[in-house]
Amino acid sequence: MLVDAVNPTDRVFGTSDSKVTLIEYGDFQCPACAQYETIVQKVRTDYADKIAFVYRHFPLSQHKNAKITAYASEAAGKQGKFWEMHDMIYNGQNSWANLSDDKARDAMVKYAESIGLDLKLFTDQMDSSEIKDKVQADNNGGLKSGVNATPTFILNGKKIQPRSYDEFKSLIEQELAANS
Amino acid sequence: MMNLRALLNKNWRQIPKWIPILFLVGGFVGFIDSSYLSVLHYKNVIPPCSILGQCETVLTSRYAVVWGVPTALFGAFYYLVVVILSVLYFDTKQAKYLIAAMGAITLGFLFTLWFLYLQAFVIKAFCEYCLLSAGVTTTLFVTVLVSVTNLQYSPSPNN
Repeated sequence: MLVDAVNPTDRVFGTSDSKVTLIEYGDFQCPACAQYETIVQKVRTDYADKIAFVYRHFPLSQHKNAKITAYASEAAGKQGKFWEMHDMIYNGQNSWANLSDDKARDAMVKYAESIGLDLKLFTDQMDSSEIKDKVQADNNGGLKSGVNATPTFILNGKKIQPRSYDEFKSLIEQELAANS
Repeated sequence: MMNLRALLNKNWRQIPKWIPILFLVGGFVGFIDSSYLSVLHYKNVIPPCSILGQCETVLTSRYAVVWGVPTALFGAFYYLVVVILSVLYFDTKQAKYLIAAMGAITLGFLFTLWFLYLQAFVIKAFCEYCLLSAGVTTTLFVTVLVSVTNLQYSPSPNN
């Protein structure tokens, strides 16, 4: 699978210069992504000192609040709290998924407040073209790579479909061994 | 006025052989489709969100489960009934099994209309697996209609 290389705009968790990179193309409003999140958060944390975990946005058109939540996560990232916001958005998916645009936005502002962000800066950045372009660039990169569903996981250029923590672990361990 | 059941009982031999074969094939396809969704439900697996479909929206809606039972399981049961009745018909050549299959398909078609309405106007999303099932049941129902309308009010060989 041809995937865009990790670039400075990517949100990377763990060891950014690792030879093993796990990329997730995700959509905050996708129920399957939220279901995977418990496993992914554990993988991300357990392998933080060994691999680079990259989250890229792939907001699907059928999810009306997918983009606004992606913008919120990136705006939080501008204040160094992308992952905190990322986790809150996924954990609270049921509470904001069916809200109107304005109410979903209010929900994001409340999340921002709860993690101590500068709210004026946060809301300004949510609306910035820089952040919208970044989300669009992630989406375009995914389309170019043949991503057609979320979550899509790519481990060192290979699409993987693990269904459990142990399956993630096994695939990552194999890749670590091959690159040691 | 002769009712439909009596008419079918009397003239069921006019029904072409391909019709019960279609019931069997359609029932089998529908059973696999519905069973797959039922298994996903019990394994607590939500299908990935696809660029082309909106299956996850339908399958995570409150209409996906009725009285704690996944709607897909009711579908699997319905298709299984159609398959069993078709097999019984082939085995025994008794019209009552074919008539019962037609009844089940008619009932299945009414539910299909309801589910299509829910997807189009309430959930506002379509699931490809549900549409496959809708296509199968609609095809079977059209077959039932064709069979019934082609029946002639002719004297039965026994009369």
